Amino acid sequence: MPRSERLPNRLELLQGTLDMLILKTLQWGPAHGYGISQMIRSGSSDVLQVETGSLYPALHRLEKQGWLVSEWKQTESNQRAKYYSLTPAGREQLLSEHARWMQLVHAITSIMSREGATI
Amino acid sequence: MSLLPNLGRKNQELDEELEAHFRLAIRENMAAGLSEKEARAAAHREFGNTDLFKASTRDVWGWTWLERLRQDVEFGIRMLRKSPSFTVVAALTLALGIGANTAIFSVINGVLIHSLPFPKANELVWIMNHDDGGPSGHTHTSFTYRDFRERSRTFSNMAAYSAFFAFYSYNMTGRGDPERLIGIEVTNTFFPLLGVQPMLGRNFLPEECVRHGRLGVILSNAYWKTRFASDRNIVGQSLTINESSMTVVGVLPATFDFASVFVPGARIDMFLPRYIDKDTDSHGNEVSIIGRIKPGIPLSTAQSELAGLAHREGRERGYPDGSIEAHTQFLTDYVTGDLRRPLLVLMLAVGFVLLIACANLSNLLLARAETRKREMGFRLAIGASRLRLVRQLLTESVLLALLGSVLALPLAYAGTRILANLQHTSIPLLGQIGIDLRAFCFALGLAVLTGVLFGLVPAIHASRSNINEALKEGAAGAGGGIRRSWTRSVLVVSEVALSCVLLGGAGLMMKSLLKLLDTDPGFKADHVAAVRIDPGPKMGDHKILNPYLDRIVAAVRQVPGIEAASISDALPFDRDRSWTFGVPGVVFPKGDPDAFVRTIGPGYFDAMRIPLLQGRDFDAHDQLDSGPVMIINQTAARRLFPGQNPLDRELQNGNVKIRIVGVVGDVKHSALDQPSGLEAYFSYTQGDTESPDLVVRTTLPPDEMATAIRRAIWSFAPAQPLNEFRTMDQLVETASSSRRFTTLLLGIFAVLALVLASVGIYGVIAYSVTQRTRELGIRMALGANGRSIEWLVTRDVLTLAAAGALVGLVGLAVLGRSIASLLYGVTATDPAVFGGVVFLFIAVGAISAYIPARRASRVDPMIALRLD
Repeated sequence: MPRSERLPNRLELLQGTLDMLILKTLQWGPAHGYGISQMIRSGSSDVLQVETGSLYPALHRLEKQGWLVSEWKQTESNQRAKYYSLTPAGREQLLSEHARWMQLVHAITSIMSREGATI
Repeated sequence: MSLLPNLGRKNQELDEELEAHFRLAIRENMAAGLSEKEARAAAHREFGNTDLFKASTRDVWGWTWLERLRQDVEFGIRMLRKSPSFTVVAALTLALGIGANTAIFSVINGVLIHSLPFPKANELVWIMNHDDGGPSGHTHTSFTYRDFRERSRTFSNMAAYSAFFAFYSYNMTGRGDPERLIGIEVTNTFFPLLGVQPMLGRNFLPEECVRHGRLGVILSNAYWKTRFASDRNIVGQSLTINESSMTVVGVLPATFDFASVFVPGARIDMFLPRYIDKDTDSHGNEVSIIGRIKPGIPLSTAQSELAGLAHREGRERGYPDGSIEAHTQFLTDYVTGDLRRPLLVLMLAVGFVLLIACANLSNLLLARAETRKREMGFRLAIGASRLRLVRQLLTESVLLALLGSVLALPLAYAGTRILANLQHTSIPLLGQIGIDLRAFCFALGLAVLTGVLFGLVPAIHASRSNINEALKEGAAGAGGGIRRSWTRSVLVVSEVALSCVLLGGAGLMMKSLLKLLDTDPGFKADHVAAVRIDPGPKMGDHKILNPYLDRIVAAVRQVPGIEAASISDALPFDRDRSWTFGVPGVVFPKGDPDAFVRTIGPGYFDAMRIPLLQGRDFDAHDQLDSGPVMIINQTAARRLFPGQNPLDRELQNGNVKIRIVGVVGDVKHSALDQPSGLEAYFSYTQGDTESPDLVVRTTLPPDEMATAIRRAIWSFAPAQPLNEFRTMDQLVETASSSRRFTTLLLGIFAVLALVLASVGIYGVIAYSVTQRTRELGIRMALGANGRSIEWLVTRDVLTLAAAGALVGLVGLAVLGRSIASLLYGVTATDPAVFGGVVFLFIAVGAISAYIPARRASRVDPMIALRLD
């Protein structure tokens, strides 16, 4: 992938949203770290780029909190990789974070879209 | 590698996980059409700083602090190894400080913190008769013991032992050389009350604790070990003691050391059953009583109950009020109470030594921080946080302290061994002292505390490094900055102040001890020895005993090297016995006074060099059939016959009237720092002696005479035990042992403090001279001569020393009051001691400054200015 494509359009992830995105990504089944970052990127049409430096601390944190479990498996290309999957607690967490997020988006949108309220 | 194996596996897994991520990224990049090289480069770029996010991932695990600690420790060890001379000096300084603290703590731990070596020792109560009059005033009659024991509702049980056991005769024959044993009679409740089980055999049975009961003895562990070589078959065997056969019924465990608790410094060989019946009631005050208070009952309740019982008993038996009393005290307080203050003073003193050592190390570290400025600046520049640097430096200093404490343990061990084996001491429970787990933990905790204490200030200073300044080349010579040199001065001043307090305290104690040793005990102890010549009850009748004693004295006087020989049954600082004397026709408002009683032989005053002031010594004419005569001391003469001539006057003891034939000088009796009381001397030629000593004055060192004296006596009395040979010097030494102990230790610590403080002053001045090289060079270039430079440096030192000494004197004046009760013949603000301390510190300051000042005066201005 050419570099020029990626840099200008990149958005910083909002604080606290990475965890939710990881949980959401894993909703469709187990994935390894690289897979998760690729899925977030392609799912956001290359707008969201997850830093490796944030991804792994987040994965380990979520695992420690009991929302993820991990196991070593072979990839399709026959390489060993650590696959993460959601636990039932992780599913619940996803639901509540999702609800909270929607509330937040709704609230912010309703302020931002009010005509004439801008200074 | 890692401290936890689990953490190692997790680290490896994380590496693998990231490796997999990396490979997948390369693969994908190649799939997107990049060459392998480009793909790899792209993946790297994307990846960023692997170490950084590995670290932040590990943060998530929650074990980072351990990981960082490991790094800090590894780094610290590297740093310490890089400068071995600094490490060695610092560790040794700390070893001295921590070692001394641990040793003293072990003593306090053994003597004050550890309870007495008995189960539920906090229930044990020492029941005194009168709370004054020394140990003999504490004793009770056997009827008091019986009544207290039967009537008290606040004690679960009581036990008694014969207080004057050291003067009973137990001569063992038939097993090698005849030997006089020290045996102590205890009631059969004694061992059960203390919770002591014989290690072999059994306790006394009731049928052994009655008059004419079966004769049984229980051996002390020490005697069993030394005399019977730990023979386990000794139980059931019989010993010939005083020509009767006594069966060994038990052996006590090594954990039970009667002497170290009840009569420190004494020797106990065996225990015998003590009976209490109507016949022993008339023996007077002769037993010591211990009770076990019932759980939950306060001592005050027990005290008032016993006081009431004592009063009632005095009335019932027709004694004047106040003759029988009861004063209670927890046994622990009785045993160790007098030692509490000296030991706490010593603990404070070693604490000071350690503080001084800390101040020295702080100074060393401050100086070292200068040389590590660039390192610190660099680390700050690449993003280390201040806290992290402080933590790193603290880890280093704690490591140093731990190293010091490792070296300190053998020191402390040796120190406590020496203390525990002190000879001629009357300090209780010393044998119980050793480095135990508690002392070990103390040393360890102290090390960590010390490390933080001396490391914190330098660490904070170092972390304040100005990055720009530090990274500039050749920042040396710029000087340490006002703040830092101020810190150093404060450290030196406090060091000097602390050691000043210590030296002053030690000086006061030393002067007290000298004063004490200088007090005239009333006799000349040097070259005098005493041998116990107790022939045992077979010579109970003085008609047999007196010629026997005459013969011994006569035989010993023939031995070459013997200057004088006589008899005494109550040596100074040894035996404590007093009788009441009245003057016929005189009523004393407080009742007839007590006088210490000694039965001696003719020539005793000469042998002891006690001056005869009036009248005559006893002589061969004073016999059983001549009228009873006595000699009194000066104090008795003044008290009993104020303004009159006491010669040929009579004193009355009971129904007997005794004529005074002489007056002699006072002799210190119970302790050197106690005034002499009334003293009364009788001659053995006119009556009874109990367990007498042969007293000899020798021309040779008395120890060398022991064999010759034994040979002379054994030539005609082969069954006479002569195993107790003591010099008067030993007796005097024992009498001042606890003071010597405190003074000696305090003196050692003070010297240690002085050395550390002078090293500290030297270090700071030497360093500041190096720092000021350029300034000094300029001064010299401008015409200052060597002498004025020397004075410049010396003046700084003297200012510091004087400031420290001043602060120290104030501290000494405050602390001095707390040791006032330990002083003798010296006030807590003795001007000679205070002046001496100030002078000493000015002198030490001047000496410490000498070398740096010389060096400063030889600075070559050209070289100094070319620095940088």
